[in-house]
Formats: sequence, C-alpha cells, structure tokens
Amino acid sequence: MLESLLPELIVAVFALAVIFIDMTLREDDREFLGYLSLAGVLLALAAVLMQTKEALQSPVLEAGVFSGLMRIDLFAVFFKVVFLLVALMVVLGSIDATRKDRYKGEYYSLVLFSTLGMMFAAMAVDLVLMFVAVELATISTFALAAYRKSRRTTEAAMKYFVVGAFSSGLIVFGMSLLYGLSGSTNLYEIAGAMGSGDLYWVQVLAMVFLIAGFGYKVAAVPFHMWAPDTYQGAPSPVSAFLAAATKKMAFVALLRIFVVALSAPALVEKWALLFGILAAVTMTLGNVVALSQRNIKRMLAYSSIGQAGYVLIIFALLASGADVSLSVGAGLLHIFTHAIMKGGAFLVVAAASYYMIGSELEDFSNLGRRLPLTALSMTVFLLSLAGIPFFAGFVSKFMILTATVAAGGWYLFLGILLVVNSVVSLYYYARVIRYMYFAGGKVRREPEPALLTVALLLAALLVVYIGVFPDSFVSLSIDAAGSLFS
Amino acid sequence: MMLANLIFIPLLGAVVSYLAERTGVVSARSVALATTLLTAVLSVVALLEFLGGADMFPEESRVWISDFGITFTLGADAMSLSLVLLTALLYLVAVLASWNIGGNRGRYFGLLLTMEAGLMGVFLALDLFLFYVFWEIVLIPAFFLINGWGGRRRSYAAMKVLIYTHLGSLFMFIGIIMMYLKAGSFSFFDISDALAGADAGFKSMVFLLLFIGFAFKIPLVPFHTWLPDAYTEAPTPVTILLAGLLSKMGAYGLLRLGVSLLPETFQNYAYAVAVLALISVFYAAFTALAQRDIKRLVAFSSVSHMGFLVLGIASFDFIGISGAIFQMVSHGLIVALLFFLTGMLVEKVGSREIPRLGGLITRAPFLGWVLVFASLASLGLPGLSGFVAELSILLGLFSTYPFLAYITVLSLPLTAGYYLWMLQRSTFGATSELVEGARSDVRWFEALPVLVLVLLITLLGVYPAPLMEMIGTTSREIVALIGGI
Repeated sequence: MLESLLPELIVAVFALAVIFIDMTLREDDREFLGYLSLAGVLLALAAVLMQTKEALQSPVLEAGVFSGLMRIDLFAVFFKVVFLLVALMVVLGSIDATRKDRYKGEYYSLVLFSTLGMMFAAMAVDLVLMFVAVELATISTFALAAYRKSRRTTEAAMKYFVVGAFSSGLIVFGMSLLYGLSGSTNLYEIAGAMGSGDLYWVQVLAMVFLIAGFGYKVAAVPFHMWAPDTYQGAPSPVSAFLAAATKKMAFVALLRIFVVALSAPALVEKWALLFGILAAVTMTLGNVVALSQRNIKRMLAYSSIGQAGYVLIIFALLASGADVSLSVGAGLLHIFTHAIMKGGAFLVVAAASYYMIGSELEDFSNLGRRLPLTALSMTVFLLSLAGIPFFAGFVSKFMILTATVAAGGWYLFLGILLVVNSVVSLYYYARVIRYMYFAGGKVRREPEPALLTVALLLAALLVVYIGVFPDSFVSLSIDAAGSLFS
Repeated sequence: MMLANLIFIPLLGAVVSYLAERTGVVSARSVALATTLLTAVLSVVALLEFLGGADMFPEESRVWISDFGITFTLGADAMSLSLVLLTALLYLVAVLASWNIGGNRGRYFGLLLTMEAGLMGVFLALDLFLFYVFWEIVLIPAFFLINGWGGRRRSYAAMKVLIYTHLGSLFMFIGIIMMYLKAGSFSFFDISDALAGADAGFKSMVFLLLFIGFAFKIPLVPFHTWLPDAYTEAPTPVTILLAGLLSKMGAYGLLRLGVSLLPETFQNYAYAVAVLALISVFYAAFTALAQRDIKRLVAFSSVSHMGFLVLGIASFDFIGISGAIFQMVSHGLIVALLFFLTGMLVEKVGSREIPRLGGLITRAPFLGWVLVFASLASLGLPGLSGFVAELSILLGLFSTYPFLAYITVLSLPLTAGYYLWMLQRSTFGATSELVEGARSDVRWFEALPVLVLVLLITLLGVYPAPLMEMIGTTSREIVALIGGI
C-alpha cells in the first residue's frame, strides 16, 4: 500500500529535507534548495508517470487506500501529473525569479507542501481527507502569496487569506450537511444514500454551500473578487502556482463531490442548472472585464476567471444525458492545458520582472526584441489560451464545444456563448502580442535567465506538442473521466 | 504524388528561410523563391497526374485524433486543383512583389510561407476538422504580416480582420461539429452520407452556421466591414494574397461544404443568398465609385466581383457554377495584378491617390498601360478572362433567376464606369506634379509577374476551353447532386 503512495512520500520527504537543510546553509548557498526541490519534483513526477502507465492498463489501481480514504485511479493520477508539472515549472522558474529573495527554504518547502496537499486532494474520496488535503494546499499558498513584503503583496495575501478561510468554512458546512444526510463521509457511500426526496431543502442547502465554497476557490463569478487583486499582487511565480495548480485542485474536489457523490439524477438536475448559470456569468464577465485591463497580471487573472467558466460548462452538461466521459474528459483536458499555458504566461511576467520590466501592457513593448525567447513562449501561451489551432488550448476548447453541441437544445446557447467569449478573448490576447512585437522603438537584447527560459520553453513545447499530436492526450482525459465511476 | 508535400514544403521553406536569414548563409527571399517555385512545380505535377486520370479524391488518410474520428485526409478534384495552382502562382507573384521588402526578412518570408501551407491545406483537406484547422491558421500569419509590414493604421486593420473572421469561423466550426455529431466522423464522405438522411430543420441550422463563416471570409455585404481596412493597410504582397486567395477560401468553402454537402438546403436558401450577393455587387460598386485611393477602389471592386461569384454559385446551374469556379481563378489573377500595380505606384510615383496620378501614361508608360489592361480585364472586356467568367455566371443566372439576372446586368456599366473614370483621372489627363517626378524604370522582379499575369489573363480569355472543361468535371458532379444534368 505504501508503494502506491510513493510519489507523495517523495514530495513529503523533500519538503521536510528542504526545511532541515535550510537551517544548515549559509544565505549565499540557499539556491541549492531550489535544485533540491527540483530533484524532488522530478522524482515524484517520474513515480507518477509510472503510475500513469499502470493506470492506463487498469484505470483503478487501488479502490480503497487506508480503508476507503483514497482512491488511486486514472483520474487521480491525471491530476497528480498536472500538479507536478506545474510545480516543476514553478520551481524551475523560481530558482531564477527568487534569486534576490531571502527565505528560500520557506518558499520551496511551502511550494512542495502545497503540491503534496493537492496530490492528496486528487486521490481523496472521503470528505474529511479531502478537506484536510485542500486546507494543506491552500494554507501553504496563503504564506506564499505574502512571501515578498510590500503593501501590494500584503493586501493581496490578506484578501486571499480572508476569502480562503471564509470559503473553507462554507465548504465544511456543506460537507457536514452531506454527512448528516447520508451518514457517511465516503463519497461513494454518499452517492448510494442520497437521491431520495427526503429533506429536500437540506440537500439544496448542502449543494449551495459546496458550490459557493468551491466557487470561491475556483474564482467563479460572483465569488471571484479576490482573484484579480491576489494574482496581481502576489509574486509572479506564486501567481502562476495559484492560477495553474491551486485553482485546479478545487476543480478536482468539485468533480469528485458533484459527479460522484451527488450523481443521483434528481440532484444532478438541480446543481447542473446552478452550474450552467455560473458558467455563463463567469466566462462572460471574466472575458469582458479582461478587455479593459492594462495590467498583464490582472488581465491574466480575469482571463483565468473566464477560462474557469469554460470548465464549469461541463458540469451543466451532466444533466443533459450526454456522454459523461466525453463531457468530463473535455473539462479535464482543459484543466490540463490551461494549467500549462496560464502557468507559463505568469512565469513570463516573472521573467520580465527579473529585468525590472513591469507588468503593464506598455512595459511589454518590444519584449520580442529584448527577451526574444520569453516573448516567443508568451506568444505560444496566448495563442493557445485564445484557442488557435495547433496549440493545446484549441484541442481542449474543441472538446468542450463538442460536448456542449452534443448536449443539444438549450445547451447550444452555452456553446455559442463560449464561442463569442473566445472571440472577445482573442482581442486582449492579441493585444499583448502586438505590444511585444510591433510597438516600435529601440531596445537591445538582454541575456535571458537560463532556468526560467528553459521552464518557459518546455511549457511552450508541451503546448505545441499537445496541439499537433493531441490523440493520446484526448484519450487519456476521456479515460480518466471514465475512471471516476468504474 | 503526395499532396501533403504541397503543405509541408512551404512549411519547411518557412523554417529554412527564417533560419537562413538569421545565420546569413543565403537570403530569405531566395529560399522563399525556391520554395514557391518547387511548390508550383509540384502543383503542376499534381495537375498532370489528375489529367492523367489518377484518383486523388481522397488520396491518403491517416488517423489524427482517434476518439473523434479525425483523420489527416487530403484529396483534390478539379476545383481544388484550380485553386492549388492559383495559390502556387500568386505566391510566386507575392514573393517577387516582396523582393525589396523592409524589416526582418527572415520573419517576413517565414510568415508568408506558413500562410501558404495553411492555404494549401484548406484547398486540399477532405476532413472537415482538418479543413477548419487550416482555415483558422491562415489568419495568424496574416495578423503578424499586416501588423509588422502594413500601413499607418495597420494595428487597427490587423486586429479587425483577426477578430471579425475569427467570429465567423467559430460559427462555421459549430456547424461542422453538428455535422460530425450526426456522422460520427469528420470525414467529408462520411458526413456526406450521414447528411443525406438528416432532417431538414437540422440541415438548415447547419447551413446557416456555415454560411456565416463563409460570408465573413468572402466577404458579402454586410459582413465585409473588415475588408477595406485590411486590404488597404496590408503590404502589397499580403493584399495580393488576401484578395486573391483568402477570399477564395470562403467561396471554396461555400462550394465544398455548402453546395456539395447540403445541396437541397442550399437550394432552399439560394434565392436569399443570391439577393445578398446582388446587394454586395451593387453596394461595393457604388462605394468603389466614391474612392480616391486606388487600392481602396480595387478592394471594393473585389467585393463586387466576389458577389458576382456567389451569384454564380447560387444559380445552381451547370454553366453558372462553372463560371463561378472560373471566376475564382480569373478574379484571383486580375486582382493580384491590380494590387501589384498599386504597390508599384507607391514605389514609382509615391501616391495611390487618383487625382494626383494624372498623366501617368506619359511618364511611366509600362505602369500606365498595364493599369489600363488590368482595369479592362476587371470590368469584363471580351477577350480577357473576366469576361468569360462573368458571362457564364450571367448565363447560369438567367436560366434560374432571370429577374435577378436582369438586375445584375445593370451593374456592368457601373463597374465599367468606376474603372474608366479612375483611368481617365489617373492614367490619362493632365500630367500632375507628382507624376512629373515619377520613375519609369522597371526591374525584372516587377516585369516578370506582370507579364505572366497579363499573359494568363489573356490566354484564359481567348481560349478558356481547357480550364472550363476541367472545372466542368466538378460542377457536373455538383449539379448532379441536385438532380440536374
């Protein structure tokens, strides 16, 4: 049993090692901690990839680890890959981006602990473990958001903390109602016990609390107010981590709870409608507000809200009787691709700030000549976010659109809204590209930070690879969605 | 021959020309010229094979995304091949037109050739997903090219063309996805089979979604508002490609997807489409009359001629559709020549403003005479290719919608009017101050494309039979779908 938790053990050991070794190092030597964390993440990633290989043969590796607390299925493994890839990007980028900062030991150990929490959240099928895992991941990021001391960062972290704590309260409340209704904390047992018409309003109340609580965590409108401030104020690598990993963890929990535990048809009908409204409002507001942002981090934050709206669509589709694996699989792939491209985009801002380039649109003028590789990867990320073919974002958006059209009827309205939002988003993404390449004026090329550039190029390469050879990624995400039930 | 080469060789050329300029081994423009020449040769080889009776429809197929039944399937019939040849030819013209382009040439030619790969893909794809993917990817190099090498209002124009046509394309994509869900595959042939038994309401919905995409691309009034800005602000070679080829994507899509896949549905809407096209013809012609800038005049005249083309498609008549496909080639050649000349005007005279170009023919006779020739070709002078196309379209339209045909005839004097008036004010008349100082030298990379285009326009006008006959194979199939001959 322990060997199936090998990836988590690796991350935990390295997280602790970072803390202890930190004490023995002089300040100048602390860059080593970055490399140590990198090694940890790489090892864990290797272990997870091995699990992926096994899970592709049999989707459910272990159905009840620790008497039913966790379930290691392809779904869990899929998300662990996502989290570790993001952690890899962030750690690789942070070695350059935090070179001038003190407290490196705290920084890297928090990143690793947060990743650990997410990995457990991916496997959790028990409400208590899920809550604990989500808290481990979130509380670590509270500290990360406040990592650099400035007024802006403090405000960002404070906002994030208050909203985060509040939403955890909502989640716990919803979870306790679920327990009261079903008499169990195991998601699969809850699924069996729910669905009768008894205590109708309590069921609705539980769903509303859970949707609101996790709505805050995924920054769905109207629970999104904290996200732009936090993403803008936090150090860029941390913003990358928040947008690409922490947010995705909330989706894992949402999927497990709603798609598995609340899968009784009478319930699905109700929450699917709520999610449909949430999706429509979230994607529209996120994209429209992003149009007017002059700060790139803030623009990326709003675009992140819009993109979360695309994923929320798939929850709405589950009441339509459409193919569940296709719908959920579409959401999974979009979570994957969005993690890479949005994480990458925030790291670009980190790379720019390495040269004291700000994050306003004008600051990015001529980035194409100052930092050509960084600008090139940013172009890839932005085109992918906009859903241009031959980039990863196109494939996942295509899947969501197909799932929406397949559901037919009124769901087509969501599809058309998705399309219109896509067009809106293309404008503000293309605007950044225009500033980077066509602003005019004279600049000279600067040497780009090596590791950060490697991280960016790897992410960009992955985005293009998924865009050109999507076959295995598409079937992986559909199979992972299927493994939720098998 | 592998049709895929027509896509991958330009793509390879794009990478090589970018790297060549960076490393300085060879110049990007010579790589680009070599690539476009090779592509042209391969297109001719494909044509010869087709004429030799090879079945290339479809040619090859490879699985791309198995879960959605998406394949990499290419194929060519007479219509595809006509457009492939046109693409190859206009790219030679465009490369020569950019021979002395400023800025980073590696990047410029890289983008230009990437666009060629996309265009070839659109004309060859027989998997609708693949078709859409190529259709969209053409836009990205165009955005960069207009932004990087365009005129004063380039960033506005580039953004406008990007957003507008992207919007149209996504609606088309929804239509394509709906057809996929019916057929379980994106293959042109599977969808064609599956749609045969589909109900009419579904097909109408799909047709309308597809039509929005095509109408933006062709473009038809009122979906044309991006066009004048894009055509005017883009650098000359890119304008040649936009007007000569990108607009043909829309017309090609209308024929390949609209007519071939949804024949009865399209026929139900044919009258409405024809009326819309007729509005385009007149609206654009009147607008052209009011232009001071030659490039803008040609841009509106292009909208007018594309409207003519759509009239031919909507006629659903053998001669009308043949005329429409012929018009794709003919309009591509003529509009390329016209935009090439506007580019030369700016270089030799320094202006495109009609009133400032008076007496051009006395100072720059080559430029002046070719401008006269191109204008005459565009207004449909008998003996030149435009006449053959427009006559066929009108004949087709007369047999289907005689009333519309009578109205269409009224546009001909209008077209003649704005071209002749433009010639009168610019080429002939009193020599203006600006023209006094015009340069009259003509270099090889200017003369060569002009001569080739003039020759082809004349040849197709005098002896259209071979091309018409080849096109006939496609239009006969199309007409057979709706129970014609």
